[in-house]
Amino acid sequence: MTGIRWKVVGKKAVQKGLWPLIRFFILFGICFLLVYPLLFMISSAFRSQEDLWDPSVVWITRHFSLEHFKAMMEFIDFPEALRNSILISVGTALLQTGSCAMVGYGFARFRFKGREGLFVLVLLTIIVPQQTILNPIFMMFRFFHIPVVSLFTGSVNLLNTPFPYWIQGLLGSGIRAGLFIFIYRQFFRGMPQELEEAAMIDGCNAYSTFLRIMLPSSVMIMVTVFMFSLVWHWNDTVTAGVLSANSKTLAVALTNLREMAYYMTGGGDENPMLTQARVQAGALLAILPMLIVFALGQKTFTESVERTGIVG
Amino acid sequence: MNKRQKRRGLSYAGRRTVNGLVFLSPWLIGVTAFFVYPFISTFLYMFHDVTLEPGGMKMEFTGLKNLQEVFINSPTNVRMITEALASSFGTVILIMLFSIFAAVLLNQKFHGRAVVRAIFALPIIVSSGILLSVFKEDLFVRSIQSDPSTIFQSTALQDMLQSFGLDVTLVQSISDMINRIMDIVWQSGVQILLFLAALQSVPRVLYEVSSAEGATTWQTFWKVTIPLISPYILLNGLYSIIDSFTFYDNPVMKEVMNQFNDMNYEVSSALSMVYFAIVLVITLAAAGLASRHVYSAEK
Repeated sequence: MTGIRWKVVGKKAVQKGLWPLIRFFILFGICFLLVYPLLFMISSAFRSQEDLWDPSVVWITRHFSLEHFKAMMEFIDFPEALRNSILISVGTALLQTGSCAMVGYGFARFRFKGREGLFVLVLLTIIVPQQTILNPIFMMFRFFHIPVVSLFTGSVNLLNTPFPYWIQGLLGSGIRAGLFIFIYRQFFRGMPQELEEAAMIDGCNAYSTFLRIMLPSSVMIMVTVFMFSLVWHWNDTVTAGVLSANSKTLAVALTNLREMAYYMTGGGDENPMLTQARVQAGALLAILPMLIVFALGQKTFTESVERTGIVG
Repeated sequence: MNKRQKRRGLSYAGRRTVNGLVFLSPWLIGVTAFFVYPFISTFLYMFHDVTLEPGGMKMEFTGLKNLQEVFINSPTNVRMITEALASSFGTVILIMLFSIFAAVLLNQKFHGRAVVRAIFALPIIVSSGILLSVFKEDLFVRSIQSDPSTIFQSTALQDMLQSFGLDVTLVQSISDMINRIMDIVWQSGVQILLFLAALQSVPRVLYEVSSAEGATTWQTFWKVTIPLISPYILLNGLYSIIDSFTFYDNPVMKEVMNQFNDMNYEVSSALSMVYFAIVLVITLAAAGLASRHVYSAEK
């Protein structure tokens, strides 16, 4: 009898009271895992040297200090690195957003021989790891032949400039471009064909239909692609380590962060806590711009992914 | 005028072909220059002795020597690859389970949902293997302060489980999984986002019908939600496979980059090409197996 009663009460209790409670704890735990490193970063980056070794200081420092930031800013040449990172990331993201939209539309709406084969190639570009083909790309940009011009001047070295990223972005290639083409194709396929037919009847050709009808109605998906491209270029350390290893960008600084901090603090072993604080300060500097963008655009971003439903 | 006539002369299909190719043209150049050509080059490096010289690369044909060097003469490489594959495989499964679970939670209505969602999107914004390793610096600091209670280390739990008399290997695998929770959570950002999109794409009517028919939430989840979001499961699975097999922390990828930085181009290309071939086979097998079970509205 108690069993039956428990069943009736239990079910309701689970639905009304218990489940939200369990859910709260699960979500709280996961959020803790996600926020903890950031809090830790902020907490240790603002500590003065004397507080670093003080075991009674857990989260909030007694002597607030910006010295680690100042040191790291100087060391990675923050203004210059920030400028270069913005040039690379924003520039390439804009180019990829445009070029991949064009290509995705081409794949979505035009039937021709060999289209399926070419699309397999798009999928292959998604699957092949960047690291696999970086080597020849490195050589290509190290000895870059500008069409026609290089007949007279010979090759130029484009490494450590934004041009390798821009050229690839313009031509619908580069970091995860295949994925963007895929996303656009799925999106354009889901658009009602009547729109274009109406435009054709009104005298638009294929290009003006694309520019005047399709692009304006795909702003949401363009925002999504732009954000993804921006973030992935910003965080990319693999390609940056090869194509711009000797230039000042935040991604490169991030790669060398620990070595830098060790070097600065005289070997690291002497004062590991200081090295640690410097590393955290440097990492915070590197992701700060993205965090700001994120704080401003997160809602649009998630909403646009959800509303456009990417896969269609 | 001649041109115009020619244009008229083209059939509708022919004109569509031309238009389509025009739309594809930037990519056609790009994919040839930055994908097909580098891919073939890397493939050829495998069979050559490559040296960097002023003005370009010098290649000397050596046959299968490099492959032999990398996979037969080296004591560690084969083992490294198998271990990397095994660990990535486990990661992919855990990521999928976690991200679908998280998406279902985030899709429910509760107070503060917007904030929680924003936090869950963090990994997308700061996704980078190097950052993840900086994040884990905490471990290092706590060990200096001789505080055993780090959140990413489960030695205490390990001891406790073993004292209950559980098998050592079992305890080890459990604690391995717990130690990887941090990685899993931080690698699931995009997947959770895609699953959220998937859950929102399921028509509400279906839920109403199934609840009217007396189905429990559990049954509805398996009979309605899962089939309808199965295309997303496939996409997410493939994305996770590729992402974790090429993750920055992956030992094979690390070795490829090390060899590259040491200018051992032939070694780095042989290693990455063979590894890629294996990943491709796994991806295709997974896609082939899964696509049979994927729900499609057009059927």
